[in-house]
Amino acid sequence: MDAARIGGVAGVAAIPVLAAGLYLGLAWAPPDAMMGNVQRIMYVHFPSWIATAIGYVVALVGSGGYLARRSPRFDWLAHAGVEVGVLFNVSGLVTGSIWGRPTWGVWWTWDPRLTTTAIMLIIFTGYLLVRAFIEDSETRARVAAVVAIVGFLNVPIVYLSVRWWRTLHQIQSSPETVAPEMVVALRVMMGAFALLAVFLVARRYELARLEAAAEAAEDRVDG
Amino acid sequence: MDNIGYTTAAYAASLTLIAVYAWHLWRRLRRARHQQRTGGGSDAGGRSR
Repeated sequence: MDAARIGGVAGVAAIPVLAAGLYLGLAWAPPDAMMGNVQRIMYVHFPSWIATAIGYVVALVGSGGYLARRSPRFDWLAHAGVEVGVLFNVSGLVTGSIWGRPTWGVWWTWDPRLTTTAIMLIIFTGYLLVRAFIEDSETRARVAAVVAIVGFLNVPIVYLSVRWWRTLHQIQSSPETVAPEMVVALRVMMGAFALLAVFLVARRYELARLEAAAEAAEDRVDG
Repeated sequence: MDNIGYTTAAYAASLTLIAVYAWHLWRRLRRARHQQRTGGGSDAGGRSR
């Protein structure tokens, strides 16, 4: 199955799953005993991080693949993964900030989890800037792959930051400690965001392929 | 605490971000496909950065 087909299937599947997730998260799952309806932000906040992880893992695989094989396909995959990862990274930070205001009293605080996720966004935005500044396609792919692999070292730090340091952000929840309806709503929204991430990565990969063909044609004309 | 405005804002922000990116991506793809079919200049497809 090629990228376009995978993207098409994921995109079509994402629509009903997202609709179901929105219904479950906004209407079906009960409000939290302490936070009330504000807790429903969890159903877009946490799935944003799942989609971010998908994007950055794809970028890691693509970057490693490029350095090993030097095939542009891996570079296109890495580029697609980073761009989609950055999109959902922003979504995670914005929804977290909106959730932080009513629960912590601040839009932002230099908590280790928040700080490491902001650093992650800066690193991968830097990856996109690096690509924009390097003219030669092979040098660009090689340098970008190194940036993505080094940048990915921060991803496990983000995950473990709530355990390594005393933070305002809670540690990972267990499904056993929350209402079953909340678990169902969260899992459906995680599925929806994962499908959206796959759809967008596949489409961005296709765009990178077309852009590379246009660039090659342009280089031939330039001589 | 139970302010539905924050919840609405979070959902709107997240879904709008995704929708705007998807729309922008769709436009870039359409332009690149058009360029590939017609063999147009670099303005149509852009460079793969």
